[in-house]
Amino acid sequence: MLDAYLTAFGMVFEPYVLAVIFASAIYGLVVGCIPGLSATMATALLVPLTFFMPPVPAVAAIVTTSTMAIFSGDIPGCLLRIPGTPASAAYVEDSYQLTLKGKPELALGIGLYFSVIGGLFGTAVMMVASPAIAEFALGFGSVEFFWIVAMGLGGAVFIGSSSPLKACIALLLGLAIALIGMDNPAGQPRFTFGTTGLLGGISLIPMMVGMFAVSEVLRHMVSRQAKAQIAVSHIGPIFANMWKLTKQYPWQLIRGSALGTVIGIQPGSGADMAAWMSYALSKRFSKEPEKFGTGHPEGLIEAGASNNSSLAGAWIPALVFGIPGDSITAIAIGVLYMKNMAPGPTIFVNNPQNVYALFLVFVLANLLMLPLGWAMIKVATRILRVPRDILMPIILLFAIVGAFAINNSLFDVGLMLGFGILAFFMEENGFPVAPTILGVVLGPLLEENFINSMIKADGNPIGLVDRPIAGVLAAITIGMMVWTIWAARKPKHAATTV
Amino acid sequence: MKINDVTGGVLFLILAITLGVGAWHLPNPGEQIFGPSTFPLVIATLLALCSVILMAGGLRSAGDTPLFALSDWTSEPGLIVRFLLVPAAVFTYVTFVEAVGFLPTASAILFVLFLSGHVRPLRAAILSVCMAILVHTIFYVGLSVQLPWGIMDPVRW
Repeated sequence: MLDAYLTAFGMVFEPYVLAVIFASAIYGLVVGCIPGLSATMATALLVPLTFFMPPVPAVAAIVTTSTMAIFSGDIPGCLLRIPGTPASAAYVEDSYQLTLKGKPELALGIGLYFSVIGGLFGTAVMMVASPAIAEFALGFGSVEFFWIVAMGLGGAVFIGSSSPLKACIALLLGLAIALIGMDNPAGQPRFTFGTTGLLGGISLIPMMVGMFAVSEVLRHMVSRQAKAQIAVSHIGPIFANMWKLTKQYPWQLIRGSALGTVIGIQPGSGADMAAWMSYALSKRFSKEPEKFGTGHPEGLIEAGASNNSSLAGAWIPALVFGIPGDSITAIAIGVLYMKNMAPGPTIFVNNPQNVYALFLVFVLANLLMLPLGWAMIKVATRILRVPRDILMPIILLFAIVGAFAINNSLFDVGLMLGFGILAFFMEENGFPVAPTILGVVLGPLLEENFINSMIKADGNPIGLVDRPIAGVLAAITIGMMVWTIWAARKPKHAATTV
Repeated sequence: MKINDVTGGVLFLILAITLGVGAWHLPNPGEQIFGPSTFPLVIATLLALCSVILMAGGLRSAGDTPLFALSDWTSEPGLIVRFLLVPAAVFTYVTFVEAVGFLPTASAILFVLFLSGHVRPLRAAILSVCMAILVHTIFYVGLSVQLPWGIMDPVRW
């Protein structure tokens, strides 16, 4: 293991990779800081560029961008009361109230300092847990993998979705899209409509860029948001009270980091859910719950640590099983496949140095967040003044060229637009987009393991559950679905979608 | 456009049926028991089931909800134009980029989009050209993506 770590160290600490990490950090900080541009969108737009990179810098770019963007989302939340990314929404009120009280440096300092600690905590868990889980998973067969994938997809649909039924339909739509092309166990062209451009299936990158970036541009075009006013012009020293706060709220920090990591591991629940749950938990166990929402640091510390720790947590199932913990890792898995780093337990045996390089990138990105995050906070008031009417057309141009660049194909540009419009209308009607992406990414894996398992079992469905681990995984998956459907029944009577 | 759950259910049911019929007619070389149509039929069945549940839920709770309604933003012609500018920009790119070249096409698209966001014309013109050159530099020079030169071929660099 030490040898692999030394090799990984050499792979990460080379000028090209460090330059990619540095550039991705700046990019992630800027995009995360701009309200309306999510960390997922930042990652999706980056994918076409990673296509041209070797595996380690490609993954490093994704990890660094998402880590920085999640922290940076705190900045507009604090200065404008508009969270930069959904992961900062849970504690935006406390953060903004601190700014109104003349303490923006305290709110931003908490966001930065405790994000770093949370991120490092999640990374440590990932470094210890992933190889151990992978070793255990080496004995898994197609049946176990079928249930693992089903559990991952079930998590996307049934955890944290306001309408599990609509999320399920969105997922099935993704699985249906994944059927297109020849990438199936029979190697038979399916649903290609005689188009050679579809023989290889729907190209994942144009689809992701369309669904996450073009849909965002469309949403901006039809929005009537007035210009937000920045509440302060000067930000004081941001690390001044951090050690004092660490000693004052140690349990909140540990609880937030731990819960964030666990939520990250759960497929389908990302940084935003981690922040909401940690904020709620912090308020629940606080001695001063009445102060929450009035500029109290306690919830900020717990939720700020939580959303960044969830990022590393989400990589555990992504690396070990190829199951994304959130939409960012769904994109990352696409990149891993593209770079011949197919995730799964064998990656820890065949290419451990690549996995350890990823761990080191996480550590580096979190440490780099301290100085770069500090610098970002200092220039944030200027960046926030750049109008979105200037940014969005530029994003569209990047999306067009990014979609084209993968296969030098204008057909892919058309696909990107189609999926962008589809995602826009899906979200207008309450259908979440992330399950569709997960469906497309995991569809081939689900089909392959399903068909292999059914062939092994001679078509007997009992063969899907008669091995002990498969039986347990099946029970968890089905239990999760039944429980969520049961829980969703109550509010459903009042809900009407128009 | 916003649709209610009944309309949404009908649309997805049509998709499920189309998928199922398409899967049923897929050729199965070697007459495999679990051939290329097995998994698509499972997906089609589940999608049909979910669509019917969505429709049933919609019928129970819809009341006087219209089958489909236009979104709030469609009441402002300016916003409709801004929305349509996005597909128009992509269509323009796909149609003209080979013949006209990347730099003029991208600059023109950016210029129109900037103007639609009330950016001042001179600023929009300068930004359009600068951003087109920046994107060209990143992808053409940096990543060797073959962006077409079109009418600018004589001054290719």
